Amino acid sequence: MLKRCLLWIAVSALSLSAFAQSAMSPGKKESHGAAPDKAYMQKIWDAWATLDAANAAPYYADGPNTFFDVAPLKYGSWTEYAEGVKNVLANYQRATLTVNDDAVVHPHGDLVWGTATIKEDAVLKSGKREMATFRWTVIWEKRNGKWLIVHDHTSEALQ
Amino acid sequence: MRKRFVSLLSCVFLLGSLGLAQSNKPAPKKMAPSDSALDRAMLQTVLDGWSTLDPADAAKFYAHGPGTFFDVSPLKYSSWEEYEAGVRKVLVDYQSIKFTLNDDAAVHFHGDVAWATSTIKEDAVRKDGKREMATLRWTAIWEKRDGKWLIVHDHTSEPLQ
Repeated sequence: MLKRCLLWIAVSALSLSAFAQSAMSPGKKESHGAAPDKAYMQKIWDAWATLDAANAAPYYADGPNTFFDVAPLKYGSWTEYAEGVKNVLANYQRATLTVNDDAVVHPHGDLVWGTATIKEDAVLKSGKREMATFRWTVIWEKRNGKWLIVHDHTSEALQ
Repeated sequence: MRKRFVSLLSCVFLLGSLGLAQSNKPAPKKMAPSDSALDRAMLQTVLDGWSTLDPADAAKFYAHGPGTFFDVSPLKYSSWEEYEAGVRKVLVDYQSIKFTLNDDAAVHFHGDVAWATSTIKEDAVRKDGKREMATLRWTAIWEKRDGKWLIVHDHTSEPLQ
C-alpha cells in the first residue's frame, strides 16, 4: 500500500512539473533584462546619429521584416534597410536625433511597442542644416534574452 | 505486483513525455481560432470605414480615449477624439477616396495584442476635381478588449519623395 502511494506521488509530481513547464511557454516566460524604455529608445537613435547603420544593427532583428523609413516606400529586411540607409546617410556630415518627452512604451510580455516623436538636427555635406520632427512607431520582440526591433515606422508629417 | 509497477512506471513516462512535448511548443504567435476576426479582410474593412469620408464609420475599430495616432499629417493626435475631429476637417475637401490594402499586408499575433503592417493604395478625388494617387504605409497596433479587436495606435504615412 505504501509503495502504491509513493508511486502515485511520483506520478503526480511529474505531471505537475510537466504542466508547469507547458504553462511557461516561450511567449510568456519571465523576461530577463530590462524592457525597452525611453533611455533605450535614445540609445537606438544615438546609434543612428553616428551615421553608420552598423552601429544600429545590434538593435534590429535579422531576416524578413518590414521597416518603413522616411523614404523609400519600405524595406523587407534589416539587410535591405541597412543598405538603403547607408546611401542616405552618406549625404550627411553630422546628425543629432533626440527622443522627445512624448515617448511611451507598452510592454506585453515578450513584446513591447513604443511611440515617440523625434527631433532631428542634422547638417548635410553641402553645409545645409536640416531640422525636422519625425514620428516613430517601434515594435520589439525578446529573442534569446535580447530585445530586438522587428518592425519600425519612421515618418515625417506632410506639410 | 511487478505488472502493476511496470504499468505505473509507463504512466509516469507517458505523462512526463506529454508534458515535455507541450513545453516545446513555439511561442503563441499563430492565429488562434479567436483571432480569426483580425485578418486581411478586417484591415480592408477598417480602410473602407475611412473611405466613406465620415470618421464615424471608422470609429468602431478604434479604442477611444487617450492614445497616440500618427496620420499623414499633422504631427500627431493624442486621442481618438482628437484624431476623429482632425481627420474630419481634412476629409471635407474630398469628394471621394478609395483605400486598397496591398498584398504585402501582414498581421502578427501576440496573445491579446496584434500588430499589422501594410502598404495602401490611395485613389482620391478632391472637391476641386484634382485626382490624388499615392501609396501609403500603415502600421496598426491592436488590443483585444472585451473580446473585440480595437486599434490602440496607428501610424499612416507617405514616404518623402
